[in-house]
Amino acid sequence: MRAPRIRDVRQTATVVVGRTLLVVVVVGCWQWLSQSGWVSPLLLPAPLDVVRRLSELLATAEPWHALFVTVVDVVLAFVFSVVLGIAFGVAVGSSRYWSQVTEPLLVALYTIPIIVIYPVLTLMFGIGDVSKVVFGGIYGFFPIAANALRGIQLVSPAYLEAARSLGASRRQLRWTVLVPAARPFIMAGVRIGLSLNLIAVVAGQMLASADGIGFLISTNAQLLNASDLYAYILLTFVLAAAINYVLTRNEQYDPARQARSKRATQARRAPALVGSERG
Amino acid sequence: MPEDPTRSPAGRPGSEILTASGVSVSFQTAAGARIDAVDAVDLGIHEGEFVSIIGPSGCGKSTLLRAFGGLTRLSSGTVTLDGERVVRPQPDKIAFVFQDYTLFPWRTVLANTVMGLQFRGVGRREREETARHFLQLVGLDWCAGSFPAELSGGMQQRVAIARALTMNPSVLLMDEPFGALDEQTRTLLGSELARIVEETGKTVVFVTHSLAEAVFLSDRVLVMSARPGQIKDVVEVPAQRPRDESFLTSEVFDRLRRRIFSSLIEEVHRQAAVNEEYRRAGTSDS
Ligand SMILES: Nc1ncnc2c1ncn2[C@@H]1O[C@H](COP(=O)(O)OP(=O)(O)O)[C@@H](O)[C@H]1O
Ligand SMILES: [Mg+2]
Repeated sequence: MRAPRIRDVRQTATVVVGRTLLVVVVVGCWQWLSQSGWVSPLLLPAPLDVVRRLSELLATAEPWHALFVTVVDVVLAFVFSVVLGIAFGVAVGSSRYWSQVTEPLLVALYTIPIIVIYPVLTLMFGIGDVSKVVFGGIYGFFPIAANALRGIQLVSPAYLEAARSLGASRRQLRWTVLVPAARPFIMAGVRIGLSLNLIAVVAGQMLASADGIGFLISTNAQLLNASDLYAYILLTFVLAAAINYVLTRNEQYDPARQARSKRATQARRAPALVGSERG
Repeated sequence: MPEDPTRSPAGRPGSEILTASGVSVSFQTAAGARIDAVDAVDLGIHEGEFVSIIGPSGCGKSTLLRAFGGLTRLSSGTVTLDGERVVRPQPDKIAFVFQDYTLFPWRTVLANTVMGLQFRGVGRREREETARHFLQLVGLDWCAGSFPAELSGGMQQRVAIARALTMNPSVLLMDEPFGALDEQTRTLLGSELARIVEETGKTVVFVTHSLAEAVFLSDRVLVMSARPGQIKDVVEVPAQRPRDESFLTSEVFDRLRRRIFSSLIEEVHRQAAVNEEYRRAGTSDS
């Protein structure tokens, strides 16, 4: 167990160094480009200026309010797509007939650019938060529903037979066997869904709204206010990175696997000196 | 009826508990062909009896067992348990142990063992207490918190047996439960099963492809014919249960095993011919 763990740690270390270097190189190029005079600072302000501007802005209420509105919209859209996506996937996936009827449609809808319906949503719900939540919710719904459906269909019939012989009702079969068995698929869909929630909410704010980070980005772009524009773009990156972090944390959270690895670590606690550097 | 061997137990007390009359099961394949898996099986199994079913692979043993447990629709005939028709699973009376490890990998051993009781709506404390009791009976209470993947195949099957017993069924239907295990583990688990059956007094229908296992464990061994599966032969094992390992080397054991083997091998060849024919028909179709 020991040798592979050492190699693991070394590998992660070099990978982290590589990543950091890559970011430094990209930011360095940006800095160099903006100083070279080839690109107007109106189009590309220097990275340090952008960071300075963002920290100035963060001392005001504006970005915090925009961030709050955006996060609330994304969270509501996420809840909308997770609840409906899983409910749909599970309900349809446990009926062969309804799977056959809906699956091609679902896949087709998944691939069309749903953004075309956004104007309709603003007509229906106005340009406030509701249209963003619904739009973001619809965007995130399809990958979650499609993945849940697929995952449910692929559950081994042996599990179903075992559960039926133990007296599971249809409902119990769904929630204690089908959903946990399809969990890896469902989680993959949820991950894609959440990133689409964010994309759709920000896009909605950019297209038609009076609030949120997307709104600030499109307004500052129209005003040719480059430093603010880039500061808010940077803020969006930070938000996306935070969401991505939450997602990858969640990915690691698998109670079964955790319990297993906990016991495994206990078992090799003594020789795991090198491994403990990681935790 | 005593002259009909499918209905008379080997001098065992206990009334008839599970009865199959004219049970046939057919399947429709995806290609539209009809497969007759089980054909007009009549069988009576008595309370406390241990009956093994042996037959060529693909002859319909699993299908017959599913029919007994209400897991498959019959094309004709009836299955009755204690005089009541079985048309759907009866988790409080009939429990299954399958060949493929059907423990749920995302649940701990304890969480797997309580499942039947959980489906029945038994409270957490009570169901865990019952589960622990039966895990103890199979000698695995110490790994209640483990996950199935951490257990060997033999241990997983013991958990599956414990899970079946929690339901307090009168009949245990076992479909090649030790089929995927190595020879030594099989022998051990066979003796353990014999002990558990002795302690709990369950009626067992046991599908196996091991002659030794069948003879060692059973009161009666049923030999099934090539598909469509019928009961071709019934062999009684005239030895008191439980038997110890000396029975494995006894003269009776050898004689019975030979007798069953000669009956079985004929059907194995016939089934191979059936499979071949079926494959030819399938390829000429498409
Ligand atoms: N659900 C099913 N659909 C179609 N054919 C089936 C189904 N289950 C079993 N069969 C067919 O019925 C026959 C008997 O199967 P089975 O009872 O599993 O045999 P055994 O357990 O004796 O090996 C086989 O030819 C098998 O292919
Ligand atoms: Mg079988």
